[in-house]
Amino acid sequence: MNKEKIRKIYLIFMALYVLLAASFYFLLGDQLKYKDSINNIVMVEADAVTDEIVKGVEVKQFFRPSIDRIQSMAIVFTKFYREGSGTVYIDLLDGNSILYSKSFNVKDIPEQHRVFINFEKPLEVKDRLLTLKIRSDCNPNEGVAVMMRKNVDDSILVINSRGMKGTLCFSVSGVDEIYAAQYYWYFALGVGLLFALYLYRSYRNYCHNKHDYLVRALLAIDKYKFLISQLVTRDFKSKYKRSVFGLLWSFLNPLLTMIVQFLVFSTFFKADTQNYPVYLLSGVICFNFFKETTDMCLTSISGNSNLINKVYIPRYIFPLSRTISSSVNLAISLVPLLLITLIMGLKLHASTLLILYFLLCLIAFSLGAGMLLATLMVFFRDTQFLWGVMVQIWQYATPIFYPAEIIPDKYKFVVRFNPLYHFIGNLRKCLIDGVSPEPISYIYCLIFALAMLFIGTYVFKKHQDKFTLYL
Amino acid sequence: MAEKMIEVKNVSMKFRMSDEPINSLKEVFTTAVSGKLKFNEFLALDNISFDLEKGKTLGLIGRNGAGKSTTLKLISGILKPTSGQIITRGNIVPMLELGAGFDLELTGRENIYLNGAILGYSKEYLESKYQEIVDFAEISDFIDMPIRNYSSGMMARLAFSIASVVQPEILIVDEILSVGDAYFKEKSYKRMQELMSGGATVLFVSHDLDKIAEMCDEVVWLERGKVVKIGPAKELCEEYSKKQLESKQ
Repeated sequence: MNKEKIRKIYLIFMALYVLLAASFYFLLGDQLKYKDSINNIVMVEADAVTDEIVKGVEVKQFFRPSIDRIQSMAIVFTKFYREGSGTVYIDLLDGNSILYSKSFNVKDIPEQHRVFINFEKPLEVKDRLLTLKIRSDCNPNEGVAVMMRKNVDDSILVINSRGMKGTLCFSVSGVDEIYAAQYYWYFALGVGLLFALYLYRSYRNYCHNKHDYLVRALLAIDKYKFLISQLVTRDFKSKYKRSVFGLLWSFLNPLLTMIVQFLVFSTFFKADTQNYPVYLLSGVICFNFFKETTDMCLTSISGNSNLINKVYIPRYIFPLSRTISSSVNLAISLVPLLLITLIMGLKLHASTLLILYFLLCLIAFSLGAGMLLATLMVFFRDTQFLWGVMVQIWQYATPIFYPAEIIPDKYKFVVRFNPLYHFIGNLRKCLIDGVSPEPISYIYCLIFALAMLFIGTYVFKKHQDKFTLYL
Repeated sequence: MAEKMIEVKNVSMKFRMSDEPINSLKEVFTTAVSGKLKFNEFLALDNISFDLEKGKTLGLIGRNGAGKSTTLKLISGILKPTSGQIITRGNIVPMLELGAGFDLELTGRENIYLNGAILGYSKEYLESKYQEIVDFAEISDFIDMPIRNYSSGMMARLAFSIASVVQPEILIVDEILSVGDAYFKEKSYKRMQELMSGGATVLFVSHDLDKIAEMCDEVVWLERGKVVKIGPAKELCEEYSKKQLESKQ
């Protein structure tokens, strides 16, 4: 390591930052500017139906959406279990001007299921009083009716000029603008400047022989990269040394777990979840990584006691090298995940790249947890058994094989404060829905990951000098 | 004045030992609740100071439990002193245990790189010395075999060859490491002498007083964690052995 090299590395850091800031902006696309509206109109549960809508009958629903950009609507019809015939006309009016019209063939309308209307161009009619008008040209006994709920305050429904309190079973969803997002470039520039300033200062300090945290980290990487690479290779070689399939197990393992769980659970959850195999496999891979890393880190200090007592190696090398081996394993198991994704007919989007962000968060989080556990394990050998139970509880508390929606509202906090759920959930969103999660999710994940990493390294560092006394 | 490679200043090392090691959560609770959580403090090293100049060989003598191995571990960085300061200059090669970190499943070749990395050698250095290691250990026929199939003698030879291929600035040795059959013992003893006389600063522990007197310039005499005397090797060794004889009688 010399001045030249440090300068080169710092310039690469800066270039990487610029590249990341820019690619993040483009990969997020609209997701950066809009988030799902909190004012979406949610469908009510039906307890009645309107009159049958035939020629001359008109149903009007008044509503005032507080959504910045309305993207879609859904209405639930009933055909009284008949086939029906004719056409239903749906109009959306702002005062007297028509915003949108669409007609449906009665034959195509499903019995008591949502009929979706997607607006090609989002409607920007925030806080305007809108009218949803439904009419048809059906003959009597061939038409449809709309499911509704009676006696709903603050909602006015007009059926054939007869006003009443009540609401149709309909939903309106859209997105709100994220106001902070328009400052993205200023924000990126600000952080970039701070970063550049820090790097410059660190470089100046280095020239004056004062090594700050970053320089020391780089020097350590330079010094120990060979050892780490040797330990990682050792992990792999000794893991698969006497097995016939060898490295192939890194592919097969998650795939087989997924297939077993798929066979067991698919009948329960398949209907609720789109692309269940991809959903399942992504969860299995991420959680297995977490489990494997923490298990391996847990024994990384106590299991290497002969080495630690005989040779001086920075202690953090042990959990770090174990985490790196698991990460290599994780990278390998991404291959079957992508294969299954493609087989299931999902397309790879630009947002697929974003899963790397969440995987990095997951790795940092697992390393932090691993260092914490490794420290605990030195002082209390019970940690190993306690952790075995904890991991199992954690596994069931994370929506891996079941959809998050089935958790009752009063237990929602279990997933809300579960970092693994955030990593896995956002990763699935990128992979399955093909869109990036809201920007705030990135910040949550980063906070979870860095907090765990900080706690882990802090506890580890504080106690590492005492390790030898307890081994 | 020659450069000081090792400076040990007022170093004390205290071990906290509970009567039984508390290793599990249950024991912590039960002992804490019953108020029996007591530690016996054991002073392994009590305020010792010495230093070592470049190119000199220093021996540590003393009876079992005098603190010799603790001193070596402190200087090689495995332990941190409770108080005091240790300054070392240059790369240290601690030859405390041979073959630390050998993995039985890996081949001899793979273990050379793994063990070398653990001892702190760089990749380039290992590659350049690889042949020398294999030749010295005389195991070239078995190098691509997992070492679980090695005899203990072969393993010891390989470990010694890896550890002794270095050109350290500071060499720390616990007992003269001569291993294997009579033929290899002599070979490895010669190698050790070469290493020690090759300009390295050596810190060295042995119970073999003749060897200490032969190889060391200076000797530190430790007893129960305290420095009894520091002085020229031959004189101190004689005095020490006299004292040992007296205490026997």
